[in-house]
Amino acid sequence: MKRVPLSELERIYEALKNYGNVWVRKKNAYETAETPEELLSTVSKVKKPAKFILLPEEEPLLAFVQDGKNVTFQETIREAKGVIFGIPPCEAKAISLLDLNFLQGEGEDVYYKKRRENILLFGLACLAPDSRCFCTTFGYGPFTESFTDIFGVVVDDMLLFEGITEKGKDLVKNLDVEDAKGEELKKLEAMKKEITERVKKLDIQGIQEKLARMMDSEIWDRISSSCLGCGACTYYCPTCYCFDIQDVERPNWGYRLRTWDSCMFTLYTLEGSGHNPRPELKYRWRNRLMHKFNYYPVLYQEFGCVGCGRCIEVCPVNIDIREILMEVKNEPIRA
Amino acid sequence: MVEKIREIARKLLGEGKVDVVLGYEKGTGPLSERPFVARTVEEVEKLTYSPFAIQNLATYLPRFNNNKVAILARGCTTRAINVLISEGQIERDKIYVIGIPCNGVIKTRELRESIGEEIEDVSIQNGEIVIKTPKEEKKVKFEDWLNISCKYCEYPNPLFYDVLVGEEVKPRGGGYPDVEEYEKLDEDERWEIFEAEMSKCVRCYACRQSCPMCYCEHCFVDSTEPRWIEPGFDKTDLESWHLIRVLHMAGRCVDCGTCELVCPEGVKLLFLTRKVARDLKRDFDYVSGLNPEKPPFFGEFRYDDKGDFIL
Repeated sequence: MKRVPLSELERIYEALKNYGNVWVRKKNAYETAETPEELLSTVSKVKKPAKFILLPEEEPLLAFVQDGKNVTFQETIREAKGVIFGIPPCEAKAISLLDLNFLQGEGEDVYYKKRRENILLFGLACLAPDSRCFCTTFGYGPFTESFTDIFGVVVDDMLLFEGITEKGKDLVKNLDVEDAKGEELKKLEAMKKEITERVKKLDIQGIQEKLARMMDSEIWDRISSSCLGCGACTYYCPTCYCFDIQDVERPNWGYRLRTWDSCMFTLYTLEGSGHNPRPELKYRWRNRLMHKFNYYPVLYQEFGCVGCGRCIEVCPVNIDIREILMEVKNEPIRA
Repeated sequence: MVEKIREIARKLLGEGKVDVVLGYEKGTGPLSERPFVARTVEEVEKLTYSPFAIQNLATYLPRFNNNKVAILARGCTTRAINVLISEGQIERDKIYVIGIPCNGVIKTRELRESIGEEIEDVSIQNGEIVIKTPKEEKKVKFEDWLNISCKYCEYPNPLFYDVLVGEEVKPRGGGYPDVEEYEKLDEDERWEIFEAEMSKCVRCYACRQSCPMCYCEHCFVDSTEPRWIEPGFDKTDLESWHLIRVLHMAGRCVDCGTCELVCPEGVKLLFLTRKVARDLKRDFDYVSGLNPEKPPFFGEFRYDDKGDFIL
């Protein structure tokens, strides 16, 4: 592990900048840093997750121009290159879940891939999990380094860090920094234990199997009764990635636009015929929960939730997914 | 007050007079009280009430049209009920109104975000909101964090009810000084504020979904044929969406403020809805939701209407 005093962060800032854009944590979103001091951000949970960089709210997939009888198409891939500095383990894990969906097999998405390949995650341990956090439920915690390229921890006025992936190690190798001291590493271990224990872990053992038997449960009525059917939970969720594709047309040109979509919207499943297979909120709620806690684990052996608690915070009516999970767990299954 | 609410709800559900009671329960986060649908006598114990209960419960009424419903209602909730009745969406005799005189609701999200650290406990004492964080106890003035509509509310008491909980309160009143302040700015300044606010929108539609008046099954913003508003984040689309929504609210918006209070991005919307409300009051002496018998503002034609206007 390496060390650099917080007062000398310019020593690593230049190297990060050479790699590309440097995004740092601001209260509302990740933004480009203009000075090394901005690396010091103490925001523990950015409202808009880093998903906004990798999977922007809108992006053109292609453009088309008509000239008489000829139509020509143009590529419109939006690239991004740089380092997301200070990304906490929950968001880094969320990106690893997006990768499962967008980087492999049939779902491989050139747009996502192009950005993902050029973005380095410089993670920082989360020192201030709040009362909505439940990350430890999912087998990792505020000090888990494995989803990042470089991982660091701020200990007093020192940033300790190390390369995790090959890419990360390469970058660290060329930095002019010293090795961390024994007492600093000792302190780090103590912090890790204390802070990880602060996170309230839920017992969701067996939830995947339970959900598979609950398609017809009455629980969905109850769960959805105060839901308003907006898309806030899904839009701010670092793992939700559903999108819609529509053409935006102008007289002789246009573009195919991908925008976010939300399974909580009526329109999401509305078919051209007028039929809607999920006509009521309860079906949409069921899908959202099933996707995260049954379909995702069935497909990828991972839950589609990282326990960051953003949905709880942004929900206009404070629907708390932790309570819902416990309700599901305790619900008797009808024979 | 809370005990009285529970007592009434217990009786209504116990005697089978209603199927559900629409009320509030304590939320899981600090500074939050959320809508709650009590269906059994046991669930009544969860009911509570405070100025942190921001959501206008009338929003839920149309989905309970096949039930007998009791609803906790402030002044603005009863106004919303009136509009819904006048537009044929609900029936008065299926609804049991538990009236609550209201001292205003708090901009909970904004307050929470301004504290910036974990909030452990919150209470209201002597006109102050006392917020406990791990480090300290902060006190802020209740009046400073009031929803702007509540700050100048003319109708804090339920306009009608089947039972009233607590004593009626004196309206704060005061008209629309916030709107007048905005109007004093020149065109460029107003446009700048408008554009800055609208640009924050992420199109999650929390404003629309929380609004008691937005009950359309098919919203114009979702329409693809014709497509009034295009997908994506072009400012023309964001701005048109909000402007058209506000105009759809003319004479219908009951100024409860829920849309602005629930917005995850804190987009200011009330300066638009309240301007329309002020214009209607000033130019047509019309206030929405006062009379369920009266046709909706845009559903009525009068020979003595002024002709020198475009809303």
